[in-house]
Amino acid sequence: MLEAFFLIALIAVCSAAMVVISKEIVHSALFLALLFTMIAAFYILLGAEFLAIIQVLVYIGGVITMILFTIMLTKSKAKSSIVNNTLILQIFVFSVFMALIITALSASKVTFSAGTVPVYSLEEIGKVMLTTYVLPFELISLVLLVAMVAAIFIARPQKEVG
Amino acid sequence: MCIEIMLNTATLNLVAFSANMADISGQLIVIFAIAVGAAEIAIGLAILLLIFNKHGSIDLSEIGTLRRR
Repeated sequence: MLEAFFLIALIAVCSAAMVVISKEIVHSALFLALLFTMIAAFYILLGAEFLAIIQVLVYIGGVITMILFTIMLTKSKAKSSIVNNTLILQIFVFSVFMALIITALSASKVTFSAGTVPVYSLEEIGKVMLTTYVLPFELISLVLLVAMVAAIFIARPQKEVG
Repeated sequence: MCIEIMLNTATLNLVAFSANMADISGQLIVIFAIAVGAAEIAIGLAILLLIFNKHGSIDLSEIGTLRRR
Protein backbone atom coordinates (compact mmCIF):
# COMPACT_ATOMS: atom_id res chain seq x y z
CA MET A 1 0.00 0.00 0.00
CA LEU A 2 2.71 2.42 1.03
CA GLU A 3 4.90 1.51 -1.94
CA ALA A 4 1.94 2.02 -4.26
CA PHE A 5 1.32 5.42 -2.68
CA PHE A 6 4.91 6.55 -3.14
CA LEU A 7 5.05 5.28 -6.72
CA ILE A 8 1.83 7.11 -7.61
CA ALA A 9 2.97 10.25 -5.80
CA LEU A 10 6.30 10.23 -7.66
CA ILE A 11 4.63 9.85 -11.05
CA ALA A 12 2.06 12.52 -10.17
CA VAL A 13 4.64 15.09 -9.06
CA CYS A 14 6.86 14.42 -12.08
CA SER A 15 3.98 14.72 -14.54
CA ALA A 16 2.75 17.91 -12.86
CA ALA A 17 6.21 19.39 -13.23
CA MET A 18 6.33 18.30 -16.87
CA VAL A 19 2.98 20.01 -17.51
CA VAL A 20 4.51 23.27 -16.38
CA ILE A 21 7.94 23.04 -18.03
CA SER A 22 7.08 21.39 -21.35
CA LYS A 23 7.78 23.58 -24.34
CA GLU A 24 5.29 21.83 -26.59
CA ILE A 25 1.73 22.49 -25.43
CA VAL A 26 0.45 19.12 -26.69
CA HIS A 27 2.97 17.38 -24.45
CA SER A 28 1.66 19.46 -21.56
CA ALA A 29 -1.87 18.28 -22.25
CA LEU A 30 -0.81 14.63 -22.41
CA PHE A 31 1.15 14.90 -19.16
CA LEU A 32 -1.97 16.47 -17.68
CA ALA A 33 -3.86 13.32 -18.68
CA LEU A 34 -1.24 11.24 -16.87
CA LEU A 35 -1.61 13.44 -13.80
CA PHE A 36 -5.39 13.01 -13.82
CA THR A 37 -4.95 9.24 -14.04
CA MET A 38 -2.67 9.33 -11.02
CA ILE A 39 -5.20 11.40 -9.09
CA ALA A 40 -7.82 8.77 -9.91
CA ALA A 41 -5.44 6.14 -8.53
CA PHE A 42 -5.13 8.22 -5.36
CA TYR A 43 -8.91 8.24 -5.06
CA ILE A 44 -8.97 4.46 -5.29
CA LEU A 45 -6.30 4.24 -2.58
CA LEU A 46 -8.46 6.50 -0.41
CA GLY A 47 -11.50 4.29 -0.84
CA ALA A 48 -13.41 6.65 -3.12
CA GLU A 49 -14.03 4.45 -6.14
CA PHE A 50 -16.97 6.47 -7.40
CA LEU A 51 -14.85 9.62 -7.44
CA ALA A 52 -12.17 7.77 -9.37
CA ILE A 53 -14.73 6.84 -12.02
CA ILE A 54 -15.99 10.42 -12.12
CA GLN A 55 -12.42 11.66 -12.43
CA VAL A 56 -11.65 9.42 -15.38
CA LEU A 57 -14.94 10.19 -17.12
CA VAL A 58 -14.98 13.95 -16.64
CA TYR A 59 -11.32 14.89 -16.71
CA ILE A 60 -9.66 12.37 -18.99
CA GLY A 61 -12.71 11.84 -21.16
CA GLY A 62 -13.96 15.40 -21.24
CA VAL A 63 -11.49 18.04 -20.18
CA ILE A 64 -8.40 16.56 -21.86
CA THR A 65 -10.34 16.01 -25.08
CA MET A 66 -11.55 19.60 -24.98
CA ILE A 67 -8.06 20.93 -24.31
CA LEU A 68 -6.59 18.88 -27.15
CA PHE A 69 -9.32 20.05 -29.54
CA THR A 70 -8.69 23.65 -28.59
CA ILE A 71 -4.96 23.22 -29.09
CA MET A 72 -5.52 21.70 -32.51
CA LEU A 73 -8.01 24.40 -33.51
CA THR A 74 -5.73 27.22 -32.43
CA LYS A 75 -2.40 25.74 -33.44
CA SER A 76 -0.22 28.62 -34.52
CA LYS A 77 2.77 28.31 -36.81
CA ALA A 78 5.23 29.99 -34.52
CA LYS A 79 6.90 28.09 -31.77
CA SER A 80 6.10 29.01 -28.24
CA SER A 81 7.76 32.30 -27.49
CA ILE A 82 7.45 32.19 -23.75
CA VAL A 83 10.59 33.62 -22.26
CA ASN A 84 11.31 32.30 -18.82
CA ASN A 85 12.95 35.18 -17.03
CA THR A 86 11.27 34.81 -13.66
CA LEU A 87 13.30 31.91 -12.30
CA ILE A 88 14.36 33.67 -9.10
CA LEU A 89 10.78 34.73 -8.43
CA GLN A 90 9.57 31.16 -9.01
CA ILE A 91 12.11 29.72 -6.59
CA PHE A 92 11.22 32.38 -4.03
CA VAL A 93 7.48 31.73 -4.25
CA PHE A 94 8.04 27.98 -4.13
CA SER A 95 10.23 28.12 -1.03
CA VAL A 96 7.88 30.51 0.77
CA PHE A 97 4.96 28.23 0.01
CA MET A 98 6.81 25.13 1.17
CA ALA A 99 7.84 26.87 4.38
CA LEU A 100 4.22 27.84 4.95
CA ILE A 101 3.04 24.26 4.43
CA ILE A 102 5.71 22.80 6.72
CA THR A 103 4.93 25.34 9.45
CA ALA A 104 1.22 24.67 9.19
CA LEU A 105 1.71 20.91 9.27
CA SER A 106 3.98 21.00 12.30
CA ALA A 107 1.62 23.34 14.13
CA SER A 108 -1.60 21.50 13.35
CA LYS A 109 -3.13 19.13 15.85
CA VAL A 110 -4.73 16.84 13.29
CA THR A 111 -3.44 13.34 13.59
CA PHE A 112 -3.44 11.02 10.64
CA SER A 113 -4.13 7.39 11.29
CA ALA A 114 -2.67 4.90 8.85
CA GLY A 115 -5.51 2.46 9.33
CA THR A 116 -8.05 1.30 6.82
CA VAL A 117 -10.03 3.94 5.02
CA PRO A 118 -13.83 3.81 5.04
CA VAL A 119 -15.33 2.79 1.73
CA TYR A 120 -18.67 4.30 0.86
CA SER A 121 -20.98 2.58 -1.52
CA LEU A 122 -22.61 4.38 -4.40
CA GLU A 123 -25.93 4.03 -2.63
CA GLU A 124 -24.77 6.00 0.40
CA ILE A 125 -23.33 8.75 -1.79
CA GLY A 126 -26.59 8.97 -3.70
CA LYS A 127 -28.64 9.15 -0.52
CA VAL A 128 -26.54 11.95 0.96
CA MET A 129 -26.54 13.79 -2.35
CA LEU A 130 -30.32 13.79 -2.62
CA THR A 131 -31.06 14.57 1.03
CA THR A 132 -28.44 16.76 2.70
CA TYR A 133 -26.93 18.22 -0.46
CA VAL A 134 -30.04 18.48 -2.60
CA LEU A 135 -29.82 22.27 -2.98
CA PRO A 136 -26.19 22.29 -4.21
CA PHE A 137 -27.12 19.38 -6.45
CA GLU A 138 -29.85 21.40 -8.14
CA LEU A 139 -27.66 24.49 -8.28
CA ILE A 140 -24.84 22.59 -9.95
CA SER A 141 -27.19 21.42 -12.68
CA LEU A 142 -28.18 25.04 -13.27
CA VAL A 143 -24.53 26.09 -13.36
CA LEU A 144 -23.75 23.39 -15.92
CA LEU A 145 -26.68 24.48 -18.10
CA VAL A 146 -25.61 28.13 -17.97
CA ALA A 147 -22.00 27.19 -18.72
CA MET A 148 -23.06 25.10 -21.71
CA VAL A 149 -25.21 27.86 -23.17
CA ALA A 150 -22.54 30.48 -22.50
CA ALA A 151 -19.77 28.40 -24.08
CA ILE A 152 -21.84 27.87 -27.23
CA PHE A 153 -22.75 31.56 -27.30
CA ILE A 154 -19.16 32.72 -26.90
CA ALA A 155 -17.59 30.33 -29.39
CA ARG A 156 -20.25 30.55 -32.11
CA PRO A 157 -19.14 31.70 -35.56
CA GLN A 158 -18.93 35.46 -35.58
CA LYS A 159 -20.89 37.33 -38.21
CA GLU A 160 -19.07 40.14 -39.92
CA VAL A 161 -20.66 43.33 -38.61
CA GLY A 162 -20.53 46.58 -40.55
CA MET B 1 -4.04 23.63 -17.37
CA CYS B 2 -2.29 24.79 -14.23
CA ILE B 3 -5.67 25.84 -12.89
CA GLU B 4 -6.80 22.26 -13.36
CA ILE B 5 -3.76 20.99 -11.48
CA MET B 6 -4.52 23.29 -8.54
CA LEU B 7 -8.18 22.28 -8.56
CA ASN B 8 -7.21 18.61 -8.53
CA THR B 9 -4.83 19.03 -5.63
CA ALA B 10 -7.53 20.77 -3.63
CA THR B 11 -10.06 18.03 -4.35
CA LEU B 12 -7.48 15.37 -3.47
CA ASN B 13 -6.94 17.15 -0.16
CA LEU B 14 -10.68 17.12 0.47
CA VAL B 15 -10.93 13.41 -0.23
CA ALA B 16 -7.97 12.67 2.01
CA PHE B 17 -9.50 14.54 4.93
CA SER B 18 -12.85 12.95 4.22
CA ALA B 19 -11.27 9.51 4.44
CA ASN B 20 -9.33 10.45 7.55
CA MET B 21 -12.34 11.78 9.43
CA ALA B 22 -14.74 9.09 8.14
CA ASP B 23 -17.09 11.73 6.79
CA ILE B 24 -18.84 11.39 3.46
CA SER B 25 -19.32 15.14 2.90
CA GLY B 26 -15.86 15.58 1.40
CA GLN B 27 -16.65 13.27 -1.47
CA LEU B 28 -19.89 15.11 -2.23
CA ILE B 29 -18.13 18.45 -2.24
CA VAL B 30 -15.53 17.00 -4.59
CA ILE B 31 -18.25 15.90 -7.01
CA PHE B 32 -19.61 19.45 -7.06
CA ALA B 33 -16.11 20.88 -7.44
CA ILE B 34 -15.45 18.62 -10.42
CA ALA B 35 -18.69 19.81 -12.05
CA VAL B 36 -17.75 23.45 -11.50
CA GLY B 37 -14.26 22.79 -12.85
CA ALA B 38 -15.64 21.24 -16.02
CA ALA B 39 -17.96 24.22 -16.53
CA GLU B 40 -15.09 26.62 -15.93
CA ILE B 41 -12.76 25.03 -18.45
CA ALA B 42 -15.54 24.92 -21.05
CA ILE B 43 -16.00 28.68 -20.71
CA GLY B 44 -12.26 29.28 -20.68
CA LEU B 45 -11.61 27.32 -23.84
CA ALA B 46 -14.54 29.04 -25.56
CA ILE B 47 -12.98 32.41 -24.71
CA LEU B 48 -9.65 31.13 -26.03
CA LEU B 49 -11.27 30.13 -29.33
CA LEU B 50 -12.86 33.58 -29.57
CA ILE B 51 -9.50 35.25 -28.98
CA PHE B 52 -7.95 33.08 -31.68
CA ASN B 53 -10.68 33.97 -34.15
CA LYS B 54 -10.23 37.67 -33.46
CA HIS B 55 -6.45 37.89 -33.29
CA GLY B 56 -5.13 34.79 -35.05
CA SER B 57 -2.92 34.00 -32.09
CA ILE B 58 -3.29 32.72 -28.58
CA ASP B 59 -0.09 34.29 -27.34
CA LEU B 60 -1.45 36.39 -24.51
CA SER B 61 1.53 38.73 -24.41
CA GLU B 62 0.66 39.98 -27.90
CA ILE B 63 -2.92 40.78 -27.06
CA GLY B 64 -3.38 44.18 -25.48
CA THR B 65 -6.73 45.23 -26.86
CA LEU B 66 -8.02 46.48 -23.56
CA ARG B 67 -4.90 48.55 -22.95
CA ARG B 68 -5.02 52.20 -23.88
CA ARG B 69 -2.40 53.01 -26.45
